[in-house]
Amino acid sequence: MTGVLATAVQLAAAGILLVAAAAKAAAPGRVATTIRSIGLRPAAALHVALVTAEAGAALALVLAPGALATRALVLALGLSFAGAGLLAHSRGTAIACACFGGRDGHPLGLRQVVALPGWVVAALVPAASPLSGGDGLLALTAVATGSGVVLAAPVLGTVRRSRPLVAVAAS
Amino acid sequence: MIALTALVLVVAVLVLVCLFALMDQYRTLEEVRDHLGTGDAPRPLTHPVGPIVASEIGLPASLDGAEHAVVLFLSTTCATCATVARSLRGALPDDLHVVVRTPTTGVGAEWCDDVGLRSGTVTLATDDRIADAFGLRVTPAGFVLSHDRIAAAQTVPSPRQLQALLDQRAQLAVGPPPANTAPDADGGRSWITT
Repeated sequence: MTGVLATAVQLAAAGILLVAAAAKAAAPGRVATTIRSIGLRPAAALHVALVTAEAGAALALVLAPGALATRALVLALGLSFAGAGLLAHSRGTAIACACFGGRDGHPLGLRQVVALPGWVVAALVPAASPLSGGDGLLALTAVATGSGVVLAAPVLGTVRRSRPLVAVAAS
Repeated sequence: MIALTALVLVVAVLVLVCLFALMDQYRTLEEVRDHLGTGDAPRPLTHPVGPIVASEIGLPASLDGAEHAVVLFLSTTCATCATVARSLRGALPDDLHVVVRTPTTGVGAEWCDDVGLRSGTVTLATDDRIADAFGLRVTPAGFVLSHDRIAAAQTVPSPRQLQALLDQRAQLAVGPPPANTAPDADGGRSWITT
């Protein structure tokens, strides 16, 4: 039972990281703006590093959940998210999170700090029954495909909202 | 098998990235439109609270007491009105009635032909009688009538906002007024904003 729960937690964390990495890869401008806004440089390189780290952590959580490197990477990501949230909160200005790329307009702040325990659990949960390489990749593929299907509906809504417009004209 | 699964994973992630990129592009487009002030968010309009008996002001008697109907005001002098009218493609839903404000019936009929509205199915308003009854100040504008009262009023700045108004007309419908309703203050000419 513990093994199933641990696998579920790690798969969920991997899914979130994979979707976040894809979203950040698709909106480099917004993520770089967020990185610059919290005072970090160079934004472009940090953006690439962040996307790589998130995607790598997602893969590692599935393929080698018990490895020390995996735990360290997930923990480092969780801490960096919380640190960014604290930095933004301490500045007192609203900085767009861009946690999930362009579609995430929520402000960076205490939300990321509150999420830290979740990342700690995902990093430290015992990996009682790690998935095999094939099963792990299959699970991650399912997560990516499922996320795509779930995201397709909002995309259609956005396309519908953005049909050609004409301005209001008073008679 | 593992290689194939890995390939599918890569493709799935790429599709995900493309979806996010598409959403980001549309979000940017919305931001540009907001910045330029060319969004098409409808504006609520003030309107009289009192009852409106359609047949008494020159509208079809079929609107009298209707559970819910939309009266769409267009003008022959407004470009947006023509766009909205063309989007109807000459087919008016049963509970949509179009009032075209026009200087003369000839101009109005010609305009209707141009935009694909059959002039027999719309009301050509050459004076302000209907407009005044609805408190109309701007076109295109849509009013949801329910049991002879205006349940909602808003500008209709684009065809999709007309569709949105038509979609929500049933939700906006109000129940019939109680039989002993007292006349509104100001002789039924009180105003509210929906």
